[in-house]
Amino acid sequence: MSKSKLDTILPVLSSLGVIGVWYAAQHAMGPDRQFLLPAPHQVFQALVAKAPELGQAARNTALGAFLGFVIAVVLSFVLALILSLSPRIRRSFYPHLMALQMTPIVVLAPILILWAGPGLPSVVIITFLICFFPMVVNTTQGLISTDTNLVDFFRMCNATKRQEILMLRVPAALPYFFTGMRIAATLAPIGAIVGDFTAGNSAGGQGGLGYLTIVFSSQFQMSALFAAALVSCVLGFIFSGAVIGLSWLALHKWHESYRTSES
Amino acid sequence: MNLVSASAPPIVEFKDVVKRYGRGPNILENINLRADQGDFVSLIGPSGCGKSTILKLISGLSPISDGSIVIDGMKPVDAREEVFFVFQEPTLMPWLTIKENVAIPMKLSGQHNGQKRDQIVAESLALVGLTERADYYPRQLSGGQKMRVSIARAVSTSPKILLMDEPFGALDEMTRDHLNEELLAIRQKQQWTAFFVTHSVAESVFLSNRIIVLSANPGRIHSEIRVDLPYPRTEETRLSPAYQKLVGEVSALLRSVERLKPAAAHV
Amino acid sequence: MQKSILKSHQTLFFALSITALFSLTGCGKKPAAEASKDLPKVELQTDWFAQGEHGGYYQALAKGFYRDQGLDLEIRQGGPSNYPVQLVATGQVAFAMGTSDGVMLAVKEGLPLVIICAYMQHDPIALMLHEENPINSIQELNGKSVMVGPGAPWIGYVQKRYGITLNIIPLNYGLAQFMADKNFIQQCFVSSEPYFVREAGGKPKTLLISDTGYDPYRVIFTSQQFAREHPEKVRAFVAASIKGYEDYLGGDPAPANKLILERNSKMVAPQIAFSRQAVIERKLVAGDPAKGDRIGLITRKRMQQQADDMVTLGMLPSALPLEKFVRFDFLPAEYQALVEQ
Repeated sequence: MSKSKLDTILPVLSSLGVIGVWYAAQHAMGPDRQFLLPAPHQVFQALVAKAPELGQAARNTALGAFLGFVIAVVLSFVLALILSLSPRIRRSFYPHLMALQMTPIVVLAPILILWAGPGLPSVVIITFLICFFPMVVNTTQGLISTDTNLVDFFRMCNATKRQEILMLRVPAALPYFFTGMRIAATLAPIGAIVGDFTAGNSAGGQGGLGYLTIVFSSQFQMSALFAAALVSCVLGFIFSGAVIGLSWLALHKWHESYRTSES
Repeated sequence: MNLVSASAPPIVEFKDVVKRYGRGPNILENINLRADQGDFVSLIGPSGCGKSTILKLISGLSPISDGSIVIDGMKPVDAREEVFFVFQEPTLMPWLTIKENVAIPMKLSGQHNGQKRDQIVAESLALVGLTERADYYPRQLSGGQKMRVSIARAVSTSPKILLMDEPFGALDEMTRDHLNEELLAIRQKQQWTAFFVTHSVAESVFLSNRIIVLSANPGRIHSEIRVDLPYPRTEETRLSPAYQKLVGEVSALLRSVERLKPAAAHV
Repeated sequence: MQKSILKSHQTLFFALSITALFSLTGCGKKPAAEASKDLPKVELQTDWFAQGEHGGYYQALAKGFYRDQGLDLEIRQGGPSNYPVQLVATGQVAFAMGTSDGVMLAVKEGLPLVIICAYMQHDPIALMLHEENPINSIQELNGKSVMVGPGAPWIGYVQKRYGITLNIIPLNYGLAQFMADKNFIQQCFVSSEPYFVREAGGKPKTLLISDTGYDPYRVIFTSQQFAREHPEKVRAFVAASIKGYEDYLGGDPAPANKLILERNSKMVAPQIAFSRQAVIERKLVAGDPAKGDRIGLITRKRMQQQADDMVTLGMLPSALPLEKFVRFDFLPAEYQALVEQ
């Protein structure tokens, strides 16, 4: 069997294994406990039955996650550029950034609702807050980690500070930037769901997956809850996948991490 | 090679140059040195003799502490555009293709416009035999090829003076010999003056018309050897008795300079 | 303070998994009765921290009514992260407080639960507004933002009944937004939150949900298994609890109040008095005796009505047969005639 064939078959086998164990566990619980774990086909039925609601909620969550993520990417890049200018600026900004990162979002959520109002604005802010820190830290690290030989080379060429930043430091920081972006991409849907959970609302069908989760859980719809978890998971994959794709586009031609055996 | 008469103004002239960092000890002192247009000067000497520092002083990347340096009638900082530096590392931008890398110095200084620039890049790559690799990325090249790109990039700016700091130090001997020959071939076409730092006596004899031997702590010029082997130099040059003899002499000289080092330096 | 239906809420998901883990591995089992007495130990899970609304149970405990019935009752306090349905369904507590519609939803999803008696005849859930708010009825709430427990059946009921759409903000069990915003509207317990708002200098008014015609019981439920295996304990618990409320509401509430203050360090006597007064005035626990209501009573007719309501609201695909989620035979003998009235 060829290696690539094996690579496709193994994940399929492991998925079948997981489903098998799932059914076995569900069966072993006995009728009085089966409400704890709906069977895979029940989850699938719930997925089909709740598809319109789940789809609408997923779109709303995706919108919140996307906006929060994009704002985090843009602002973190600007801040990272400022931070990269001098160690003194970094020293004076980092404590605030750390404090922001250390504050659990759940604690901030009720305050944010007071300020921004419930719904999309709060969801976007919460997503932004969760995504911002890893982006700033990684991008700044990238901007200040430029190969000193290359910096010397630019200085020897009489490059201006502007040229040094735009033509050297920024492209050299791209791998770090994308690392931050990958972390943020996995956090963005989580942030949007947590935001929706605590600060969402139902206006005009704007409820997202977090809101739907509360509704399902308050009505003990375990299968629907699992279906919502599945949809959230897929949303996470889409976000991560998109960023991994972008990262590939930007880096695969030149970066060592994409080196293949023949290049 | 000295087509220019001795009375012509030198392209590089050091007068009683002293270099130290802050209040530290002198790295270089009493440096008097003149190089004429077209000279290929190798600088050799024990580590710590300040040979790389001399390159930095010429390039203007580092200021002198005392004395004076005149480059083509100017102060080093003002002469920057006439000087190009080739570092030990190839210092290529990994995210740019080979031809984009070669174009970088011209882009930074705004020298030439698109079409003219492309033409120079192509010529420079042709000089080092990498025309085929123009659209490759650095990670696809071998160490020797990367160094060739670095040299192509240097000569693309048509410098009057080329400073090279052990550019071939990390390469295997065969690649190094090849690149030495290519370097001289390019010099045949572009009449730059070269300052070349190396640890290899054989390399310095093969490339240079003048070898300056430095002693360490502080760095001073110990002696100078003229290499009167005719250019163009080829594989045959290496086999000639005159070449072999010079290599032997310079090695002996270098050993005697090493012995000059104060005992403390060995600790 | 607040309870959404059956105390279910946001982190149910985690709670369920943890509960499942515990019950599967058996580590969730309480150590065998450490009680000094030889009486069998049973637990009642309340829906919030000890408060005046729970007075009857504490009165029965303080005055030994459970002991007299041969039970060693332990009252477990609830709070914002409390999962009575899960605790009962997995056998970790014998009894818990909830709402009739909540139990129906849980049973429909396969949780083996059964209602045994009423805790309150009428649900104290209300919407709380500032006094100066021009809105005076639920009909006027179309398009307004209200902070409530999402997914509660009454939301669907009032939207359908009045043809309105509410803009729902998930309940966060706090009063900060209410105090900060004069136009804010949120869910409350008519017998609890208004007290705090007044204490904080606000002037609240309330719109009772039960006045709209949607009027589920607040109930006590147990697991099918416990009801099957220990009917005598269930009967004893119901009898002692009814006696406790009769005594607490009609007699001297001091024994229960003392116990509540001991158990809940944040509780103050005036708040207990406020809650007890609201329970009496609004007939929350006793109902209207003239209409045949009794403390603890559940009637077949009202249960059937509530089951039908759930179908009308689309919360249940078809009416759940009463025997699936409620048993009337644990009520005292003298109630049995009233059950069928």
